[in-house]
Amino acid sequence: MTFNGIFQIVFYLTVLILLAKPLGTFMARVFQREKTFLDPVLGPLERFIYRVSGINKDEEYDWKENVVAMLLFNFVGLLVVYALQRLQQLLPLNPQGMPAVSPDSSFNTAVSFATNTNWQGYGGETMMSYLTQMVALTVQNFVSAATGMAVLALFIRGIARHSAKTLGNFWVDLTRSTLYILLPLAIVLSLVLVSQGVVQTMSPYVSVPFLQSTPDTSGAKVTDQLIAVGPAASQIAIKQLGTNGGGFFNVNSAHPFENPTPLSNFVEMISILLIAAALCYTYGKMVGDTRQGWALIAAMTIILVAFLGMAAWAEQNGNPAFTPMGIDQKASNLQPGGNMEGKEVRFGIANSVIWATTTTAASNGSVNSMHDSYMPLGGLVPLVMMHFGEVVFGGVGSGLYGMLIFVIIAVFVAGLLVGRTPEYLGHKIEAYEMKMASILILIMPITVLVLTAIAVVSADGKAGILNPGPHGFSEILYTFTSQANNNGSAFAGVSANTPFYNLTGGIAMLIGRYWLAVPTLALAGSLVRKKLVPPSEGTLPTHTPLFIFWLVAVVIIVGALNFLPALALGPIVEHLLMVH
Amino acid sequence: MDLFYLAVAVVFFLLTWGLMKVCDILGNFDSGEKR
Repeated sequence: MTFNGIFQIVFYLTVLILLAKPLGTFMARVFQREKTFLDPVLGPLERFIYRVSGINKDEEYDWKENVVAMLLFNFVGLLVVYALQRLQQLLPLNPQGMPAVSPDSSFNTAVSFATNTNWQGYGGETMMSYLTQMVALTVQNFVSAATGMAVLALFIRGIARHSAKTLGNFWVDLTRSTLYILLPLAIVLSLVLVSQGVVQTMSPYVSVPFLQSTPDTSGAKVTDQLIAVGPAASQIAIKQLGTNGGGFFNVNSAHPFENPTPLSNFVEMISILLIAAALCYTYGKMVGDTRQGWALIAAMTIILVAFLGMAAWAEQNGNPAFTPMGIDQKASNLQPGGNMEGKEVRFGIANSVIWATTTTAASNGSVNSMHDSYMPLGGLVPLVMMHFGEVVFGGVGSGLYGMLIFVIIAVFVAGLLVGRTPEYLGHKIEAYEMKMASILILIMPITVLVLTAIAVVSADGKAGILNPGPHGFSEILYTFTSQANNNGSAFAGVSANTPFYNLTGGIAMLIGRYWLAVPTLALAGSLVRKKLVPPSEGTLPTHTPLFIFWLVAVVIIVGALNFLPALALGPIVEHLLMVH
Repeated sequence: MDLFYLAVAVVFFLLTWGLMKVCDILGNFDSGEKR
């Protein structure tokens, strides 16, 4: 690893942590319905939304009523996205005359964007009209992220309150997350990105004449190139902030119109983890002990840094098979060295691995390099970050409530080990909480492993593999890991826009989102009813360095137990074959 | 095919509603007992 690379990683993490407190404080005010500096502008709009949609903002729901609200809202959103894709040829803002998207691809994409996954089996610039990109996809980028934040707010109230029944109002949390947090940040980021050269236009694609004609594969003379443009900046801003990740263009943030400069790259990388990191501080504020939030940030940072370092090491060392050929892979003033296949020269290794690690730690899924071209151990890192359940900062809302499930497991196991009654912030952790936590940590691995097994033994599954051997297995494992964790990044190398992968992937995304959100809210519904247990000498402190390392160990052990055998068949054996 | 995918979505959300009921029954939420 070069000094330059280490400096960029340290600088990135420093800026991220510094931003967590101010934004986290602001978000706590939003969720606690306290006054903010945006009230004069957004207050009337918020009240107007409640009035036209018949929401009583002062009414609170129990966990089941909130679940029903979440499911209804997301189901309707899914139908709208599906319909817009199927009817886009009849609708306006389609200057390229895009035809209707196929039913299986429409289903996969509708599920993908409603669940905050943004898996893209389609090519944005070749299949989607501007209307579909803006009204279907960008709108879902906002509301699917806000859904995760609303579920988190409800869950936090379950921990913060005692002897109560209600958790809050899903509709109010959804509205306030969108209006006060996502929308202002997205507007600011869009303008920054436009200033860097990210395109934002409603004009048709631009035809540019070549200086010299060139023959195509059939020998015909090609004299000009069609350059795709469109309203990209507005989508890219929310795709990063909302940990959505779906690019306007097919190659995502490796495209120069999505991510043109080092500054655009840096602000996009910060945006991936910004809200998720700040939500940890928000959590601390809402439960009345900011040390709890800092402890979570510390645990997440430890895991992130460890695996980021591993990816950087693997990529900077390059391919040992090249050394006997006399190929120079050392970093110098003239070259970045290491493995640059699939990476943009303008970003280099450090900025590529920061992105790859953070985008999979979060449920973002945008990419600025191609993960399929990473070294086996470099490619293992994005896989592992998702296998942990995307709780290392994670998706906005979903990452933190996922990590809090691990906290409850850590408290429970620690209680068993030392003979203490498991308690967390004044709540006794009992059988029901552990049943829900067990469901939550098992659903995702079962979904990933069963679907991967089906794909590697079925003709339809194998037909999509473009690489033989362990790399092909890694590609399929990554596909379902990404979808069941609502990440959306692709290892690539699998032809996934087929009815088989569109259907199985759609089911994986639905399970990964809603079958985790429901037990999470049920757990919150149970916690909120409990009487306050005052802290005593027998209470395990959950903000100390000891607990932070214990939490890190629990996350890593659970992830390893679930996925080590599968990883051994993919990237690990590929690495051993390479060095043998 | 549109109806097939619509049916898949409807069945999934019904199953999710069923999961909610299972969580509800396991938690005995209607007893009103505070622990």
